Amino acid sequence: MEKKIGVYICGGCGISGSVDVEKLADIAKKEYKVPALVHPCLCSAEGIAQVRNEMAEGGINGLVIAACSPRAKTEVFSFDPKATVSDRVNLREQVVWSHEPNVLEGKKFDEDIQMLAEDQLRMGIVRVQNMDPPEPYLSDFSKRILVVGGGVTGMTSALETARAGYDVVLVEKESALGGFSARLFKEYPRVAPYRDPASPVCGPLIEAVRKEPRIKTFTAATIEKIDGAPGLFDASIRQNGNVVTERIGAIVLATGFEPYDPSKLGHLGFGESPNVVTTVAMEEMAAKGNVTRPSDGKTVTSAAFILCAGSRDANHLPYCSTTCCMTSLKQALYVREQNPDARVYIFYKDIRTPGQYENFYRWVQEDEGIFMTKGEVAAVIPEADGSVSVDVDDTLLGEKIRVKADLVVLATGMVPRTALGEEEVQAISEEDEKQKKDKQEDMASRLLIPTRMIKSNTLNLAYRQGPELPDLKYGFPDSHFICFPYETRRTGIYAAGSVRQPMDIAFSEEDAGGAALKAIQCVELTSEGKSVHPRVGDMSYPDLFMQRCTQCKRCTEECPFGMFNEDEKGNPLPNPTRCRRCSICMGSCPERIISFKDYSVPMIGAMIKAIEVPEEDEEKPRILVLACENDAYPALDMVGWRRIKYNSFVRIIPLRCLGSLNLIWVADTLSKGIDGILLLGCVHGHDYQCHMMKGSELANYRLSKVQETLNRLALESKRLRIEQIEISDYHRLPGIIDEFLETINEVGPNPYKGF
Amino acid sequence: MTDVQNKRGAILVIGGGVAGITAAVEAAETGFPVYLVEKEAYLGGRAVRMNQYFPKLCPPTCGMEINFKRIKNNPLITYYTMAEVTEIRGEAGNYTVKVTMKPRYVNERCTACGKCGEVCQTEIPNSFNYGMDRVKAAYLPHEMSFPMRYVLAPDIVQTEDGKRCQAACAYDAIDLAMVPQTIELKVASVVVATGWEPYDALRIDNLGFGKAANVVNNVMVERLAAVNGPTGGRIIRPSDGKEIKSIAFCQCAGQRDENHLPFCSRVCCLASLKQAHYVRQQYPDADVYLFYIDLRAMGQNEDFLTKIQADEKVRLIKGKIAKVVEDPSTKDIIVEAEATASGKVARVQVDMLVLATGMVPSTAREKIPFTTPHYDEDGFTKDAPGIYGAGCVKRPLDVASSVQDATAAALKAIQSAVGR
Amino acid sequence: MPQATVTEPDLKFVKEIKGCGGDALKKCFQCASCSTVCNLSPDDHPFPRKEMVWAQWGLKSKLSRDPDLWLCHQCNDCTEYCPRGAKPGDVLAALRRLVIRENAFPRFLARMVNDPRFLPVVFAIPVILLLLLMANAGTLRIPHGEIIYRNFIPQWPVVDVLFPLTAIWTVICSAVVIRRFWSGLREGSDGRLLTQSYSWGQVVPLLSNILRHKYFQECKASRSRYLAHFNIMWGFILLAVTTTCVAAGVYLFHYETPYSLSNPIKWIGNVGALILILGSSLAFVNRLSKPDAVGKGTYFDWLFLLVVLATGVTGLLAEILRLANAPDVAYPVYFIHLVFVWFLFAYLPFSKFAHLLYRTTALMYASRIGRELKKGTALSSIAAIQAGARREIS
Repeated sequence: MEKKIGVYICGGCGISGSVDVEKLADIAKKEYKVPALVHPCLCSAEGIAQVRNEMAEGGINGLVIAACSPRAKTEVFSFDPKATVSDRVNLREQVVWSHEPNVLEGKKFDEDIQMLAEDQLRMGIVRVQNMDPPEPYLSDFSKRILVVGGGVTGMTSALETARAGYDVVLVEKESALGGFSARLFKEYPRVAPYRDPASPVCGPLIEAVRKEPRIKTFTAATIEKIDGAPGLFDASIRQNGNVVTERIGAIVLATGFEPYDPSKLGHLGFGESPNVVTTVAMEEMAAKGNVTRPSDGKTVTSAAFILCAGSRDANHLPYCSTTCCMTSLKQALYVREQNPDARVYIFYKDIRTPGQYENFYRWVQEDEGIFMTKGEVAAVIPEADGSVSVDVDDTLLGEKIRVKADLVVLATGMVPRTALGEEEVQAISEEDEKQKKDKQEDMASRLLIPTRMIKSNTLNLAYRQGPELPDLKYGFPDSHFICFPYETRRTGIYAAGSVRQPMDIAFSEEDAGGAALKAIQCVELTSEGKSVHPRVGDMSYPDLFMQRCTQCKRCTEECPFGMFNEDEKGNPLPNPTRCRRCSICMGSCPERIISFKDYSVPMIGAMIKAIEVPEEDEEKPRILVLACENDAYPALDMVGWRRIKYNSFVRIIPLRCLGSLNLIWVADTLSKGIDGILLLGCVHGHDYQCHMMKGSELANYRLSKVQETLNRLALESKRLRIEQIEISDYHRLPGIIDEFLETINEVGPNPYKGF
Repeated sequence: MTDVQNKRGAILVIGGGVAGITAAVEAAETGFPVYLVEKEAYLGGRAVRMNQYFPKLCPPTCGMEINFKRIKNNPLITYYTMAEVTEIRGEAGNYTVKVTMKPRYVNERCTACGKCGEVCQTEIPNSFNYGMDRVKAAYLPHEMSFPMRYVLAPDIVQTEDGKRCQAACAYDAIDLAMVPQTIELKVASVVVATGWEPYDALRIDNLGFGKAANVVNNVMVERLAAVNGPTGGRIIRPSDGKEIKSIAFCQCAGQRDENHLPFCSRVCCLASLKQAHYVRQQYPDADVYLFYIDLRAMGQNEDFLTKIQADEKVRLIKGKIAKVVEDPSTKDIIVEAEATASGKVARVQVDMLVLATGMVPSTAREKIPFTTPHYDEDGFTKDAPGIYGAGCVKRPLDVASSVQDATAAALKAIQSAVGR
Repeated sequence: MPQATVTEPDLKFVKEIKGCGGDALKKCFQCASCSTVCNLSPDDHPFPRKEMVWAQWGLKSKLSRDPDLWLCHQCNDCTEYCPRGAKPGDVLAALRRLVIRENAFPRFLARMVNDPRFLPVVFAIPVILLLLLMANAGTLRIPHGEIIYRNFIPQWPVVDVLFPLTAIWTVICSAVVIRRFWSGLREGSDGRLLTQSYSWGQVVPLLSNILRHKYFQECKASRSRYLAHFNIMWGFILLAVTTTCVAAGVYLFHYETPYSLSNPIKWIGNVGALILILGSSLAFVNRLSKPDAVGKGTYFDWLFLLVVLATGVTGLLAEILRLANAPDVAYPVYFIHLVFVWFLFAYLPFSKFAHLLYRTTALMYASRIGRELKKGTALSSIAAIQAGARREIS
C-alpha cells in the first residue's frame, strides 16, 4: 500500500505544559519528512474533525497520534483498519504524568522529559512506517459445528446451536444417546422449591435432538481423526466399519466423565463384600425398581452412604466432584421411599450443597429415618450375616461409632474421559531435551507449565502438538482463566460439561450453551478472517518467508495453540485459522522469517534504532522497556494516572505478548549503545496470567539463554532484566525501574555507545 | 444458516458487572447489536471491587482490561452508565424498553485530566470503598474506571464548588445543567445480569456488626486488601489502624439461616480462605481462626483449601460463631463457638472479626420492571422466553461460573434475536 | 483402636420425640449456635448441640442418662438463634418428658397421667377414694352450723390414713425414679463419679442455689418465667411449712383447726397460697402471651400448670367461703381442693412435677463430678483450639 503518514500531536491534559510540542512537530517534519499538526485538544470534536479532513485532503493513511494512552479515547481515534494504519504515542500517561519536570535556569522544559517524548514520537512514526493494513485470511469456511459426546451436555450443545440456526454433527460412541444421564433413576431438583427429585431430562432431550432437522447424529461412532483448522476441519467419523468425513467449522468437546474406579477403594470395602456398591450401581438398582442386597436380594433395612469415597483424597482424586453430596441425599430418599422403616446413614466430610441446593439438603434432613454425621470412615468390615459394619471416627456424636448396614454405598467422584489414557509430556524445544540432561534444575524452574496431554482417543487431532486438548489439571482440559472459562488452547475447540470440570446436569446444560456460543462465534469470526479471543477481530496472521527456514521446529513447538503442522522435512505448515495472533512464533524464529503485516521483528528493531542515544559523557543512560500490552502497559499507565514519578531515561515499547520477544532485539538494543533492557511480562508458573499461556515464560527462557552469551561477550548480563508484573502492580513499577537504573549505573555505560 | 446473516434483533443486557459485560461482548462478537445498561457510573460491578480472584489470586482488572478493550473495539455494543431500565413492554423477539439516565454532569468531552478533582473542595463518602474513606465530589470512581470519565456528585452541582469545577475544566466537559434523560430501545431479547448485594449484616444482632468497630464484612476486606483501597492495601483495624495479630472469620453470617438467607452463597468459604491468605501474606505471625459449618470448596478449588489448610497458623474450626463481645478497653473482639470436633467451647480474642456475609440477588430488593414477574421466593430470577438471567441474579456463583452462565445466556438471547 | 459398640438409631424414639413437641429436631445441622448462645451451657461438652444429634439418632440410652437435659431451664435462646428452626428448647423439653416416662415406676401410671385420654380416670381415682371414705365415715352430706371442714372430710381416715399413705407411695415411687436416674448417670459418668468423694460441703450451697434460683437467673432471656417459677416454688415451700405445723398442732398439741386469722401459721399459709397462685397465673400468662419465647406447650405442661393453679385457687377459695359462711359452696370447693392436692402429690413422680426430682439429682451429680453449671469466660488455649480444629484430610 502507498503510505502517506501524518503526525498529530495533542497539547492537552498538560502535555504542552511539560514538553515542547512544536519541537516534536519539527522532528516529524525534519527527521521524517512527514506533515505534523499540533492541536490543543485532539480528542475534541474540532480536533478529530481536523484530523479526518487532513486525512481526506492529504490522502493520509498512516496516522501517528501523539496524545494520551491508546487505552483512552479509543473510540475517538479508531479508523478503518483495512484502509489505514495508526499508532498512538503515549505522551500523557507515560511521559508528562509520570515524570517530575526538573526545569533548569532559562529553560522552559525539562530536557530529559523532552528527549523521552521525542524518542517515543520517533518510535511511533517508525512503527507506522513499518505497518501495513492486514489482509484477512479468507477461504471457503464451513460454519457447521461438531459436537463430540451425546450426553446431556452434548445434546444440549447440539440443540442450542441448531436453534441459533447452525448445522450440527453430533457424535456419540454408545449405540444410544443419553450418556451418563440415561442411567439415572431420578435427578435431584434444580428449581425452586428444590424438593422432590424429578424424572431425568435426557428422555425429552433425546426426543428433541431426533426432531431437530439441523442435527446430523452418529451413534455407535467414534472420531478417527480430525484434520485441519477452524472453518476447515475434516472430521473422519467411524461408524459400524465405514468412515465418513465431515467438513466442520468448530468443535464442542462434551465427552463427560467416568465414575472413579471403585476397585481402587478396597479400604472402603469395595470388592470385600458384594453389598458395598457405588452410587452408580445404586442408581441402576433404583431404576430397576427395587433396592436390594446384591448378596441375597434381601430388601434393604439399613444403608450407609460414605461420601467423598476416593474424593478429596490425595491418594485418589484430590478434588471435589461437587455432585456426590446431592446425589447421596437423593439416593437416601430412594431407600426410605421403598422401605419406610429403613435406616439410612450418611457419613460426610462436609455437606456440600451450594447455592439453593441447600434447600434440598434442608428438606431431606426432615426425614426421620436419615441419620447424618460428619466423620472419618475408619473401617468397613463385611459380617458373616451378609451385613457390613462401618466404623466411623471423629463423629459429631462425640465418640467413635460402628453401624451395621445391609448396603454400603460409596459416593464416587468424577474422572473426565480425557484423563483416561497414557500421557505424553510435550517439551518446549529440542534444546530442552539436551538441557534436561545437563541442567535439571533449570528445566524444573522453566517447565512450570508443561503442556501435558493425555492420549484419551477422543478427538484424535492431526496436530503436530498432539492428538487431544492439553490438560490443565487432573486430566480436565479446562481453561486456566477465571474471567474466560472458554479460553481454549486449541482454537475452535471448546470443552463443555463434566469433561471440563466436575459439574452436575443443571450446570452442564448452561456450560453446553456457553461452549456452543463460543463455537458459533469462532465460525463467524473465522469466516471474516478475524481472530478469536483474546485478540478478537485481529485480521493479521503470520506470514512465513520459507526460503530461509532451517526447519529448527521452534515455531511448531513453541506455539501455545498448535498452529503449525509439519511436513516430513520438518517445514512448518501454518494453519492461519488456528492462530491467535500472539506472535510467539515470531519471537521463536532464529531466522526471523515470521512476521505479521502490522507487527514484525524488523519493525521493533527499527523502533529501537530510532531511539537517540546520547554520548557517554552526557551521563544520560538509556533503558529500553519492552512491556506486555495487556498487563504491564496498562500498569505503566496507572503510574501516570496516580501521578507517581520514575526516571525519564526509559523508552517504552509495547509488545503483543512478551513471548514475541526475538533475541535479535537484544542485539539491536545493545549494539545501539542502550544501557539496559527491562522486560515486563505477566506472572508465569502454575498460576500463570499470560493469556498466551507461555509467552512470558518463553521470554524468560530465551533471556536466560542470551544472558549466557552476553557473559561470553564480556557484556554484563545485569543489563538484561525480566520482571513479572500484574496489572495491579503499578505501585511496584517506579521502584523496579529506578532500582534497575541504579544497577545500570553500577555496571557503567554500554561500551558500544557511539559505535 | 442464511437467516443468521439476515437482519438481527438487538439484545438488551441489564447490569454491567462481569456477567453483563460477558453476555454483551459474547453476543456482539457473534454479530448481534447489544445495549448494555449499568446503574453505576462505571462498568465492572462487584468484580472490580475485589482485590484478587480465588483460587489463582490474580487481579480482576486483568480480565477487565481485556473486556473493556473488547467493548471499545466493538461498534455493535452501546453502553449506558448511571442508567436504569424503567420499563419493558412486549414479548420475546419484540420488546420496547425505556432506559433512564441520571445526570453525570460530565459529558463525553472529558479527558479525565483531573483538574476538576484538584479544585473541588467538597468530599463525599467513597461508595467504591463501601464508605471506608472519602473522595472529592468531582471524582473518577477508580483509576481503571471504564468509561474513563469523571463524575460530579449531585451534592455540589448547585454550589460554588460546582462552578469552580466547571471553571477548571479546559474542555467544557462539565455541564451543570444536565437533567435525567429517558430513551426508548427496541430489542428482541433481554439478559438480566444485575448481580448481587452483600447481605446487610446489621440485621444479625448477635455478631456485633455495626456495634463493634472491628467487626467488618468480607467485601470490605477485599477493599482493605486492595492497593487502590482506603488503606493502600494494608489490612488494618478500622478502630485504630493497628496491624493484625489475630483475626477470626465467621462463615455463614446470615447464609443457611432461616432468619436471614435460607440458601448458601457458594463462594464465601473460598472467599474467606482467600482473605485468610491475604492476612497471612501481610502478617507472617498472625493467627487466623476460621469458624464454619461445612467448608465448601467445590471442584478443583479443593486444592486451594488444601493449600491454606497446610498453614498451621490458619485454624479451621467446625462450629458457628454465635456470640461476639467487644472488649471495651482494647476494642478487641471475643468470639465464641463450640468446636464440635472436640465438643469444647472455643473462645478466642482477636484484633478483627470478618463476617462472611452472603449474596442477595439484587432483584430481591429492586425488581426489573418486566410485564410479568419471573422470580423465585428468594428473589432469584427465573428464565422465560426472551428473558434470561445471567450470573448471581440467577443463583449464587463465583466469577468463572458467572461468566460461563452469561455466555450461555448470550446464546439464548441470540436465539430470540435471530432473524428478527 | 478401641472396638466401638454398634450404634442402633431408634426410629421409634425419634418419632416419639417428634410427637412430644420436638417435631423440628431433624432440621438441626449441627452448627452448634445453640450451645454457644446458652448461658447455662458449660465450656466442656456444652449442650444442647450434642443432645440434638443424639436425639436425631434416637440414642435413647445416652439421653436418659444425660444430666445436661436437666440443667436447661428452657429460656429458648437456642431456639431463637437456631438457623435451621430446629427448636432445641422444645426438643430438650420433649426429651425431659420422655425421660420422666421412661424411668417412671410404675411406668403405666406415667403413660396414663400424660395421656389426655386417661384424664377422667386419673381424676376419678382421688374422687372415688374420698367419696368412699366419706361414705364410710357417714359424712356424705353438707353439715349444718359453723363451717368446720373436719365435719365433711373426716379426720379419720382421710387425713389420718389416706394422705399419709399417699405420701409414702409418692416417696417410694420417687425413690425408685431417683435410683434409676442416678445409676444411669453413674453408668454414663465413665468412672468420674467414683473418683469424687461425696460431702455436705457440696450439698448445702447446691440447695441454697436452688432456693435462690441461681441458675434460672442466668437465663436472662426470660425473666418473667424465672419469677413465675420462683413464686410457685416458694408457694409450695410455705404451704409445706404450714401443713407441717398444722399436723404437729393436731397430733402433738391437739390444737384443732380452723386457726384464727391472727395466727402466724395462718399467715404463712395464706401468703404461700397467694404467691403460689401469683406464680402459676404468671406462668399461665407467659405461656399464652409469648408461646415462642416459652416454647411449645404440650398436654404434659398444661396439665401440671393447671393443677397447680387450681390447687392454690381452690385452697384460698375454700378459706374465703368458710369465712363468708357459705356452706353449700364451701364444702364442695374444699372437696375439689383435696382432689387436686392428692393429684399433685400422688402423681408427682409421673407428671411434670417430677422435674424437681430429676433437676435436683442432676445438679447433685453435676456438682459431684465438678461440672460447671454455667457458661465460662476463660479464653481457650491454642492447644485446645488446635484439638478442635480441622485435621489434615488423609
